[in-house]
Amino acid sequence: MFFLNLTAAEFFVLLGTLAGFIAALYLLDKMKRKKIVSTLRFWRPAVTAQEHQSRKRMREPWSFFLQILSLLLLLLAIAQLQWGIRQRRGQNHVLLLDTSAWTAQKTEQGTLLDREKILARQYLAALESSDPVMVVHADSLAAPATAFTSLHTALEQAVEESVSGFSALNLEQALGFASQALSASSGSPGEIVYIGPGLVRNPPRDNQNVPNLRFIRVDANRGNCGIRHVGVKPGAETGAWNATVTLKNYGPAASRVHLHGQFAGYTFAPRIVQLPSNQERTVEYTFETSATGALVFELEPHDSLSQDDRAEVWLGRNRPLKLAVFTDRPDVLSPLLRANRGISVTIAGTSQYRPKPDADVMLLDEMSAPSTPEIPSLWIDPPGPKTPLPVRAVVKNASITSWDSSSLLGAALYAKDAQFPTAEVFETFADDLLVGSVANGPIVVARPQKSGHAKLAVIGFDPFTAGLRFQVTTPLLFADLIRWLSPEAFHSAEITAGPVGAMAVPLDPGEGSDGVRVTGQSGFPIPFTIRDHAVQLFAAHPDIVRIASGGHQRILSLTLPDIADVEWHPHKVAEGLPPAALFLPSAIDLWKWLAIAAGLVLLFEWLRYGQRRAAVRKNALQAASSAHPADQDRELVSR
Amino acid sequence: MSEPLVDRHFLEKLERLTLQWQKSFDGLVGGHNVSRFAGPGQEFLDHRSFHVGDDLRAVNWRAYLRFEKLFLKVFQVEPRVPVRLLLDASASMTAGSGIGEATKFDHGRKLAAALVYMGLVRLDSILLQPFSTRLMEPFLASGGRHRFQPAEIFLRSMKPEGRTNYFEIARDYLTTYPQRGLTIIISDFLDDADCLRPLQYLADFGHELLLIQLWGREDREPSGDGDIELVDAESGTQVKIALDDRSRQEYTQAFDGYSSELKRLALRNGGRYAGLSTRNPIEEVVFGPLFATSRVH
Repeated sequence: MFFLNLTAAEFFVLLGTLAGFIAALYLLDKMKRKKIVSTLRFWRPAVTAQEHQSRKRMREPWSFFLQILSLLLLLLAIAQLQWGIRQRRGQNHVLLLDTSAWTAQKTEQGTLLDREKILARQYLAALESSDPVMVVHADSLAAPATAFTSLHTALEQAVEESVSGFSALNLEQALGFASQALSASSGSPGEIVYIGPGLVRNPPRDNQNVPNLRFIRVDANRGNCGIRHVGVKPGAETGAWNATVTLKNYGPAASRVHLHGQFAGYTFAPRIVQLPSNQERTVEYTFETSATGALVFELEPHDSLSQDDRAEVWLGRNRPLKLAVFTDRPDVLSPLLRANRGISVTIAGTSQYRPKPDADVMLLDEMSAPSTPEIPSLWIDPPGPKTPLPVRAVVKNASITSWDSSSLLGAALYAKDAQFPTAEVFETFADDLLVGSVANGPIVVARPQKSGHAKLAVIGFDPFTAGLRFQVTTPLLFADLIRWLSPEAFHSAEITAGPVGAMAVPLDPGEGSDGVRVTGQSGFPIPFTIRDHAVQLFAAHPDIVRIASGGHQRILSLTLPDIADVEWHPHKVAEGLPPAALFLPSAIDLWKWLAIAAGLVLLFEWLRYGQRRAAVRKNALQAASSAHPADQDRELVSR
Repeated sequence: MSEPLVDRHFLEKLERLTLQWQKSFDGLVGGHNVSRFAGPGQEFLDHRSFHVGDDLRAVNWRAYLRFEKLFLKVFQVEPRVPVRLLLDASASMTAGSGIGEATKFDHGRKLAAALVYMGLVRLDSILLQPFSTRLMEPFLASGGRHRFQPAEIFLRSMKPEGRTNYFEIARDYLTTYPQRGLTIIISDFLDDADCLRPLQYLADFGHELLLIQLWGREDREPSGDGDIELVDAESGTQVKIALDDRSRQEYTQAFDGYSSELKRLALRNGGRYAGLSTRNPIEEVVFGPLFATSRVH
């Protein structure tokens, strides 16, 4: 017999206080109260007997006793008096439900997760109904689905709503979380129950520190072959790609699989790969294409875990920048522009101007366009009055006073000794970027894309005059402006398909870490850190992550499941479902009966004493109200 | 107490009522109650033998011629009888009322005001005589209904205080007012000493008693339960008792017994008695039990 809510000391202190209070009220009722009366002559006959009687015994002692008894019963009910053994009353349990990638494996009765759900329900049913349980979904992160609660409907709903993830199980972190939850909970700690196949990437170092650990194993079919990694890099030649596909056999027996490749409707010849047990094989592909599309690799035959049998990456453009040049002096511009292998130059006369040529960028040399360009354009010394930007003034023999070296537009531009025979100073507006300026104003201006207008950059002087053409400023200025007009043409892309979860992407040796940006498929930035010159990030769900760093871009297609390959064999833990007798109620709740008994005692006390007191008051009132008619009768008779 | 003791509507009702008495009192003509005492009236009553000193104008000379003896004609008289209203102004008149009820003193003042108005309407003279331990300063109300306001002011200016001592009061009363008449006593008659004997003295001296006993709810039906310390409102004497049903019943029986003794005393001496609770409105009292017992017509 024990109290669930109160200690014995607390109970007796409460009982003593309340009983004292009731006794004080009772004594207060017995205390002499003063009452002013008209005369004492009629009291005297009653005084002696009543005082004598009052001294002899307490008035209504049974009422007092019944009130104390009901108070005692109520306090026992509040303290939740229970009959039984206190040993395992109110134990908290943590149910770790494995939702890692393995649990999506199909079996004859559904998936492994379905089997886990059945076992979880059986475990919950075996528990004592008042034991609080916390359901935790465990994969690479342990996420609690419920708080500690004894509401089995909420627990079963949390179990039912669990879905298989794509990441591997981090059991050490899950066990640590469960231990912390148990130690921080108010009740006595019960079991930590793990339900799952027990396949982890890194097994816990020591499970001895986890008390009351129970392992309910769900057997998984380890015979699984899958794609672990797909990497695609641009080749040395334009349009060339190098792809590597890493396959792994997780099963205990060797397996032979067919790897099918497909890109933009074209199918590669299938490769037959012999995969030894627990071994990886890498298959390489080299192909050339200027098209964009999805590169798909698929394993056959499919196995029970089909999520890693197919991988898909999206390949973008891998070709040089197309630059359409409209000039009447091709011999002057051609040496500069054709020197870059990354640029494919098409030169035409100014009379052949078209607003949308087959190019990524157009260059308009000393000409006025009859219509607005529909692709990004670079203007060199446009003659008035049809300049893309209004000309504020024309200056002669001016020198550069400032370059915008802080941005990519003016990168590496510092020379200020160049003299311009003539230069146009432009009128600028909001959002215009000032690349280079003389004392009178900007002479090199870039305007970002606006509604209905493509990007444009304007150079207000002729960079090919005798003084400037031999300075390094000229090619740098061209390179910066063309890079700004079509930045994607200069990105070197590296495309990878890998598993979800934690990932470390090493940066190139010369690659700075300042300008690294990581965004997800939705465009929102993803938190990351840079450690050991590698970008470290975590994706709990399948996503396409872009890592941009300067001119380099990496696309991570994190759509493959992270399949753990290490089987966990804990030592000295309880295994399987617990016997029903273990959680049989060892104590009986008495509070309901105590509360009912207290109510009955109070009711009896009221019927026996309280009702009589009320009747006395009622009779007194009735007697007082009927005093006059009685008097009237008496007077009428006396008359 | 700033509001009038009786309102106008009630006063209009009182116009129909008259104070009556049962005894025959001698006195000067001018009253409205016939007396069995002969006097200088207009209506023939009887003959009696002539005695020396009788008024010769009342001799029946016809009878003398016939019987050669002097007979005197006696006439019925309606004498002016003094009406004295004794109002208890002791401290006990403020105790014993329930919560929200008027005190016995207030109730008594209203009742006195109503009786004074009834007398003034019939051109009676009513002496208002408050008392507690002794008789206090009286007020004579006379001269018709338009002299009611001074009487009401007098009543409103009274303050209850002191202990009741009926022996002293009876002695003072008999000494101060030797002429017999109607004596209306409005009181709770709760004197620690015996008040029946002093009242008997008053009756023995020829006064017609109209005893109006007032009681509050607590006076007759005391409430409360358990141990209570009772304090006498007049003497301050304290008594500790344990109240329960039985003691309350015994108290009520004792109170009713005392009221019965008062009534017997009044009736035995040709007087009247009315026991009134303060819970009943004054209008209901006047037209109810008082009308029934006091010959207020």
